[in-house]
Amino acid sequence: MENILEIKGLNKAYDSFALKDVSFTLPKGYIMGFVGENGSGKTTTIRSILNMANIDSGKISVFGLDSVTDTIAIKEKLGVVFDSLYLADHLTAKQIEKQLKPFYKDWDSKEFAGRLRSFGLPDNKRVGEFSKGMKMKFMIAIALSHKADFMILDEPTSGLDPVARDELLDILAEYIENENRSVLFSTHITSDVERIADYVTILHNGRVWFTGTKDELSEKYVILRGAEEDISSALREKCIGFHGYRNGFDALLSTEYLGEVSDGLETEKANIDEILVYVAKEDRHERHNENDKV
Amino acid sequence: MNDIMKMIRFDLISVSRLTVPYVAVFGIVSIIAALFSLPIGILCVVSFVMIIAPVQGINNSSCKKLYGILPVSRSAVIKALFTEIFVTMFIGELLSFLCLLIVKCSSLYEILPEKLSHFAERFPTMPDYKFEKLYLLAAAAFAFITIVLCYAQMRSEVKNMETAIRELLIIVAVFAAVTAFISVMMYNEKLRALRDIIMPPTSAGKWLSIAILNAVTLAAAYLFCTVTIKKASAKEL
Repeated sequence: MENILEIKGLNKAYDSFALKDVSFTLPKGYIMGFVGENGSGKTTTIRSILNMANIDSGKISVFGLDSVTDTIAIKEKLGVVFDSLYLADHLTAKQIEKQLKPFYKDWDSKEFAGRLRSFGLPDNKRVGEFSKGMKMKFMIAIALSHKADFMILDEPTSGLDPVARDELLDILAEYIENENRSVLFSTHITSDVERIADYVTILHNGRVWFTGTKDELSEKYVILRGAEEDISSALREKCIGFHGYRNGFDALLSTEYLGEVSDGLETEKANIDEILVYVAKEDRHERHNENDKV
Repeated sequence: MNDIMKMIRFDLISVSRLTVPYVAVFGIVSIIAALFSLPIGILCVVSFVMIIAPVQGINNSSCKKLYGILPVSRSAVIKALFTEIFVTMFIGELLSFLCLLIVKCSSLYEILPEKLSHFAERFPTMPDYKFEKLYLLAAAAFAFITIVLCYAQMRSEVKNMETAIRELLIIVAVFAAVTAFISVMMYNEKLRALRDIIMPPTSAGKWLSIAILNAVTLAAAYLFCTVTIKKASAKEL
């Protein structure tokens, strides 16, 4: 399977935050949900792909090209949607087309006009006056008009009402019908990922916590529940985000340890939201333990 | 179309909505004032340029994210910025020359009320060698504004906007103090040699000074642009 995006050993340090050895790949023809808490490094990774952040080490390839040396060739075929409009908001869609057209060899004005019509976007209204959902659709229309084969979306659904979110996800699903195209979709609204993503990469504290297909993720972890006296200390050590309360406990457990689960305990499928919560709990627990040691 | 031209076109479309009304108002007021031999035309051109320049700067600083998305090199973006500053200022200079030419040639001041007409007639009736000083002053003013703006643009790209504004204020204050001091000395016949260099007595000398001023301004803009490309190309967006 040919990869549209390959990230190997990406490291990038800021004063208070660092991406550590981030590696994952996205094959052609698929949507990857890029999830993690706020501040986990999603936007820094995207900025690194776009060569907007200078990476300390590692290699990023898009369409098989190097993200630093071939950045212009990559951006010809790359569509980007940020959570806020990056264009001059006092201009109309028509004027913005005039601005952008010369930069892209494959710009298709008919496609742009058609997309504006099908997305219900007026071409004579200032884009700053568009609603958030309209702005997102407008950025997608731009990406589609220059025939982008890879679309990167950074938190596009945050702040959108359910109807607008649904519409946006439908557009992405339609976009991916062409099997040469891919989408990297960063969000902390995991229900969107559950709905349309084929692959999932979970970033936690600047590291890749999981990367693989959505099915692999759902098969890899379960939620374990029961009374604290029913769990062995060895199994408890293997739990992620163990949370004890008055009547029992719950925790995330890798399915490879299911054989060690005693009869009194219950397991159930974990969704991405729950996985993220347990991962964050584990992190707090580790920090708590470290503080205890001090 | 090369990348620099694409960027200039991009920026022009961005600022067109904001600048067209200014250009129209200041252009019309400048030319009408010049037709009546009133030197406020020159002031209008200078004010126009002083307004245009920050508008360009504001536009560019808000587009940094977009520059990271467009398939264009960072050096082309920077070159376009400096070209825009130089060309805008040069057009401003030419516009002020046009106004001065109209002031000298027009006789419409005669229809003005007596007091105003008396004030206005001083300019068209001024001897040529004195009137040419105004061209040189206009060229010097635009050279100064261009160089300072290019420096500020360089500092804002390399450091940040706050640093650029702080340094800009210091430069303008120091320049004003030095200019005031030199002017007083020249007025008191203390720096005759310097006066002859700054304000050549012959017509050819004045036009040569204007050409040199523009060449120096172009060289300074090129230098600041090159330094900016070297220091800011690898800066994160």
